[in-house]
Amino acid sequence: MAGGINAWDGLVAEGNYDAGMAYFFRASGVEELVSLSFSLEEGNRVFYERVAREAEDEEGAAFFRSLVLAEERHKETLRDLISRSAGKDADPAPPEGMEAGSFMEGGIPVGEALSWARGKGTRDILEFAIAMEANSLDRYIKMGRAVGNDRSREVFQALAGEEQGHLERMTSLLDRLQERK
Amino acid sequence: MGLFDHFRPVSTWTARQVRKFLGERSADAYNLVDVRQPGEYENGHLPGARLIPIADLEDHLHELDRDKPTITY
Repeated sequence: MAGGINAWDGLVAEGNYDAGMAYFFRASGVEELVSLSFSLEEGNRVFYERVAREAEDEEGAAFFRSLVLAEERHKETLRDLISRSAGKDADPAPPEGMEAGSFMEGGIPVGEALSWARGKGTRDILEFAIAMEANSLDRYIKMGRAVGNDRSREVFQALAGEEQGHLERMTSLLDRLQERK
Repeated sequence: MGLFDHFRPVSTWTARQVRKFLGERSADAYNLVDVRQPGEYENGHLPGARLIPIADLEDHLHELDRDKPTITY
């Protein structure tokens, strides 16, 4: 790519490659990956639900509500995957040492993110959410690569595709908000 | 890597071309490789990019699917 990363004006994910992948390699199978994903999706959902309630305008509130529904769908997809692969119908348990819904993507504690978001405008929260969702996309792509099972790979790839779609909607709304400024 | 691999043409794409290419395909349709150092990767990388620092590239070539296009930065 000409100009390398400095020329890139698209989305970026952050984080240490080894640290992120260490969990994947430690995980003995799909169940652990689903467990981590499910907990993070729940953390994201809790965040979006609160910022939707406290949004300064109806457009922002409606958008964040749509993300709450999207996270619910992702959780359902993950629940379905674990049900098929491990025969379990219950919600996947969070990874050891992690309370369900306490962390968001990128390992950010939900409580800290909500404290930060208090009093912030839709645009600021959207910028934060875009950075967070870029990390979700990064994670699902890598998980798809890490699993050997075809069905699981398809599910993680489908989730990556959905995250890509959310990011397009989010950046499009952010562009509109910036044009209005 | 064979002798003829050294003579394969490599095209340079703009960031815009790369963005369009990635946006139109699923992540399993290409190899996306970040050849910088781990610290640079940590500060920001294209979503889904593999980290293979350029000095280690030859040792990790087998991890890339030769049948798919490879984008490096």
